[in-house]
Amino acid sequence: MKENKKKSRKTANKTNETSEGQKKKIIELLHEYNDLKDATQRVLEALANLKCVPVGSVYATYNLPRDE
Amino acid sequence: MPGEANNTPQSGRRPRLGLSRRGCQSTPLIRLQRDDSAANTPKCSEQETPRAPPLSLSSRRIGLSKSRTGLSKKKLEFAAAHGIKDEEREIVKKTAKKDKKERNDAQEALDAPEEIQEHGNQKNQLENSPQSSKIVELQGDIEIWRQGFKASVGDLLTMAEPGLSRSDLLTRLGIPHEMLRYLEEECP
Repeated sequence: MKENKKKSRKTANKTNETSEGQKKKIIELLHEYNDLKDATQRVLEALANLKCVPVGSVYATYNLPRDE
Repeated sequence: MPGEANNTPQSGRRPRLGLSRRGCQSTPLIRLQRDDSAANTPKCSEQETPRAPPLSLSSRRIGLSKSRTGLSKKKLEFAAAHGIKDEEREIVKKTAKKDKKERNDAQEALDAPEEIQEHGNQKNQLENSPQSSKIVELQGDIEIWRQGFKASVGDLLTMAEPGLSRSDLLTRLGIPHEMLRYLEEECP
């Protein structure tokens, strides 16, 4: 009975650790996504100015989502 | 008056018009019963008992000389039933084998150590968790924007001043230099 309890506690701890790790991973990915999006938007605005075209058409050129 | 004597009403019952005297007294049901009994009752000439044909001892009996199709039919039925039984036996064997295999698999699952079972359960939980799907989604979106960033920077460099470097371009646009790593990365 004691061994079973220990095993169950170990599994519970493992699941908690994995969930915390996943949360951290998600946060890191969100930061990366936001940084990339901001940088890309600036570049696209500059391109639109040089080409004298709407920004939306530039988004379409690079197959990027505009609604977000 | 001789005529007045004939006009005096006579005593007694008057005869009905259109009906004979005999018909008035008879009951319809009684008449119908008489007709039915007359039809059903056999006549004296038809009351004779039918005679059996004489038995001839010189030849074989009549019943055995006839060809009997019933026996052949019964044989066919027996053969068909036998075939059906064989099929049922095969089906029973197959089901028995299947059950045996299932029992063996169940026993193997029971015999497997608990750690392997727990590990499998954990894997399933992790794979099916919403967090893992969120991670996959984010990775896909990052790849899309990374490709867009790389392509757009390349196009902008060609359209901008000649000889302009990537770092200078990012500086002019106000983009941190840390983003250069996305331009230098190569696809696996």
